[in-house]
Amino acid sequence: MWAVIVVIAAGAIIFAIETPVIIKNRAWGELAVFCAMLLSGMVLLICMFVEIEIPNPLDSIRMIYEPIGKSLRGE
Amino acid sequence: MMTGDQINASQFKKMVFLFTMGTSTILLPSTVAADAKNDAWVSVLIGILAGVILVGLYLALSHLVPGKTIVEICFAVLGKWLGFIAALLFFLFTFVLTILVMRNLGEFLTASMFPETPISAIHLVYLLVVIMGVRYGLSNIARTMDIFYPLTVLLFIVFALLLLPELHFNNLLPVMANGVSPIANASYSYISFPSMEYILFLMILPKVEQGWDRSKAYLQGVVLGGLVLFVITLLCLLVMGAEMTASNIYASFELAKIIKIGQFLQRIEVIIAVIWFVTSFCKLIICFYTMIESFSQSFNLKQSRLLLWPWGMVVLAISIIAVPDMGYLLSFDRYSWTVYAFTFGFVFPVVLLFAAIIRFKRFDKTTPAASTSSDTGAA
Repeated sequence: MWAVIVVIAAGAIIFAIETPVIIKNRAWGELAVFCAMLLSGMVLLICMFVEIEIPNPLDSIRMIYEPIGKSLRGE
Repeated sequence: MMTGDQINASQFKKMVFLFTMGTSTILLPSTVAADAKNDAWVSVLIGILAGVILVGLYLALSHLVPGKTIVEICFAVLGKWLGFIAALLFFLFTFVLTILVMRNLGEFLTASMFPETPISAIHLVYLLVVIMGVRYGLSNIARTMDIFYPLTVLLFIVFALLLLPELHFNNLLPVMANGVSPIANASYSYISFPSMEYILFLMILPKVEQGWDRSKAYLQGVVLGGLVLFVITLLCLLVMGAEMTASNIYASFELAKIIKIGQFLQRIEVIIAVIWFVTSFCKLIICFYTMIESFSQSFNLKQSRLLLWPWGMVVLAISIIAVPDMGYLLSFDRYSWTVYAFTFGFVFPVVLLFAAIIRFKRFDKTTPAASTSSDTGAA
């Protein structure tokens, strides 16, 4: 539970520090990407600490490449 | 802050050198010895040669489309939509590499020196330093390399000299007893592990100052770093023999434990651990920098440093989630990473090279139909 609070607090601090600069520059595209990335980072970190199963990104690469890799190794 | 800062060629050479050594110093000897046994040193030499040829390919690509990073080359050569997809795929490659380097680093530290510390804590501390470094820009990273380069070289020389009394040259015999195919198999590992990853430097190459030949610096870094890996592999074989090298994941760390000069100089494996700290940090910071840069260039964002903290969080989380255990990592490195690296280290630049030749060199030929169709996209 503490980990979740720490993650949310860290996200809020990063948001508070970075966004004024973006808004001052009127870079709305940057703001959208920044918010989306920050949110997904926080969600992933919370998933990691609470141990919620999420699909493993390396597994998709593995699914495509492992059969080729094994045959190249001759195994 | 991150754009516009330049680095000079000798810093670039040190960067390539430290990048080559990062994570490979410890992982490579056992990887190559597992296949090639006591001929592992031959396969490292073949791997260095392949690295030089690959860097030649990358340099050819950057000469054809000068002054552009590889993501900008994607857009310039393949057009807006296809270029965006290619750039995003390249970004994904740098992301996976960052994850793997991060995880290798954490696994080694938890396995060897910090058995009680949770791996996420180690990742967090490392990432904070990396984010801070990337935030100050590329010239800052380059100056870090300036400081670490002499330290790494000095420690490596000390390490190699202290091992001299332990060498057993019989360990290398018989040479090529099992034929060529185990050697080819092992050099395939070397080619995919450090050599193919040199493509990341196509993100940095345009920022290297002209003047003292930067292509030469690139190649020198590759060869010098490769030679260090060659010496480490050779030392592992000469001191411990092929069997023991292959069975220890962190062979060169085990090697350093053997060093014993009299009764007063022993247990100095921290030397190799410091080399590992420093070089892995350099590799991680370069991977993280190229990841952030390729992401912000694919989406055409002006201020890439905004993305450092969010991407730091993603890397921290994925590096823990994506790799359940060391066995997964080893099997991923052996089967999937080799082919994945081949796709982006070789197929990707070759496709870009041919596309660029078709796009930009058509003017030279005297086919009027071709030149009219190509001059719209070349601008």
